[in-house]
Amino acid sequence: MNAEVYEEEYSVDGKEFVSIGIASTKIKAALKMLGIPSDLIRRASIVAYEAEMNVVIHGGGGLMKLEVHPDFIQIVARDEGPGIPDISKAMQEGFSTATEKIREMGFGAGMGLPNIKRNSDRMEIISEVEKGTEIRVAIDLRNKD
Amino acid sequence: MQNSFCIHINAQKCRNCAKCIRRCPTEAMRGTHGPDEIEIIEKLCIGCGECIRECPYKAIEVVQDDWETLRAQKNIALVAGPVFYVQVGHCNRTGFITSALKRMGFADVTESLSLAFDISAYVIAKKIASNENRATPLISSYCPAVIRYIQIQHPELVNNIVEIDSPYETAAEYYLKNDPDASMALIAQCPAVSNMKNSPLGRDKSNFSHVINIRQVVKGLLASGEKIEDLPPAIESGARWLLWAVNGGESHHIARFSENKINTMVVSGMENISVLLNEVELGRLAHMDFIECRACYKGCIGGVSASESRYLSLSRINSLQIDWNISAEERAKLERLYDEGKWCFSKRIEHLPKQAPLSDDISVALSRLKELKIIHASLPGYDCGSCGRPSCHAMADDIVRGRGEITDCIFKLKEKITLLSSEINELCKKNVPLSGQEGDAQIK
Repeated sequence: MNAEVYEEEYSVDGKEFVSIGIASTKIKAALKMLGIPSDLIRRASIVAYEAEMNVVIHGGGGLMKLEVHPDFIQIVARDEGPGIPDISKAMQEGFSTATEKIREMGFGAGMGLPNIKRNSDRMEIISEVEKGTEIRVAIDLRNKD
Repeated sequence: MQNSFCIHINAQKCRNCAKCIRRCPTEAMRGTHGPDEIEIIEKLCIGCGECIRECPYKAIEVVQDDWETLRAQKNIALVAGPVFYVQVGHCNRTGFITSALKRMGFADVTESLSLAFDISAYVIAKKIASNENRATPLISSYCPAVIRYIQIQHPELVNNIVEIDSPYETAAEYYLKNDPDASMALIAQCPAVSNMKNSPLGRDKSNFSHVINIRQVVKGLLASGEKIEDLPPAIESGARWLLWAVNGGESHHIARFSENKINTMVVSGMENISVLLNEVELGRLAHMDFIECRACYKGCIGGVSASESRYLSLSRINSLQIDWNISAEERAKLERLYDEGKWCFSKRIEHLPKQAPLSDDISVALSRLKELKIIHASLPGYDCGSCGRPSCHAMADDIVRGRGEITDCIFKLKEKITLLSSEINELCKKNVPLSGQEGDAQIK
């Protein structure tokens, strides 16, 4: 039997702040049903939430995808926004391009990408200016004994 | 009749309307065993009382002792949360209850209570300052329904619960030091508190051997002929702990023992708690120090076993003159009690996830989750409760676990009957070559 992979895709609205956290909450619910250990769910939830915020704030909307493989979880966030010109700069804590309005709402502290990295086992950013950004994050499930 | 650990359904009154099934925040109720039996899944019941609030027929009752039997017994000490003390009287006469109980021969436990709440606030302030518990924010352990909700629905957050015993248990402990032969009775404002007697949280055994609802005691007090007017005001001032009955009282008390400014948040009502805990899980509130969560809207004054409306209780509490000055003497006493260490949990709060994963084998779980999504998508999504389950999602979940079938859904059943009947119709139209009729027979 082929290894099962579970996939779910969620579209993320870029105009409305109301929708923030919806995709991450669904991702969290799916992982709970699968019996993923709670510390991994906690990390995956933070990753998903930060990535979803990026899609809304910077990407102007896009999609989120959850893939659960037997040995790892992959979360993909994709948008067709302005792209990241300098990825290494964006990875620095405190660096932010968020507008004043977004900062007033308590977002855009420049901790998003570093926070994603901290909570993941592998992270990949593919970004092209004026084309969009795709963030792929993997969290390993514990080896079965 | 179904018996649960703290509530049961009175079969004579229950009309099987399924309103409770849909309302329950942990989906702990089912009606899948036939028309006359709503079942409470004990390990999922958090005692919040939402089902009691929802039931139009008052068919769900809290398990409790009887007031008259309790009164007839010797050496009973009644311990109650602050909400009990604002159930009767005019705005400035909260002393009615203490005085009435004294006249009936019950010991005054308010001093132990006051001390227990003081030590709780004092310890939480210390925990926040030392940040020894690395999980932030810390979550209050005062509301037992909230602790159970976290165990079941958000096990990831169990380590955020501040490991401090219920002030009721601590108060009982302090009281028993002076009167070891007393038999402790707990007066409860909700099923979750009632449940502390049989299933205490954070300890193996409760100090309480009896439990009774506020409603029953208040009724007993009023029936005893005590006159509110003649009574002197007791516990009018200085009673900081009375504020724990309302939203924000605990946080305020803690702040009085904190040297630095603390960031606290107060949330009440199960729906609001669900939203808030979700945000904690997504990492949005890591900058907060402390979250005060109460299952009942506005706090314990909204408990389902309370006799008074939460708004009247609130107005009584608001009219109290609270003495926030903590004397050096009081402080010294608290430091002594702190060192005794009787305020903490003696047992860890366990993870009790709502249900087992779809399978222990991740590959099987993955394919079951796919199947579940497909089944869920095929259901009407009304969450009507007719199948005896709280939601279409719960039904899809039951099906993949082999605990139900698609035709449990009344709409799917109707579809299936329509399909079958059209097949029957088609079959009826079919020519039967040798039907045995006379060839040229005409009927007019």
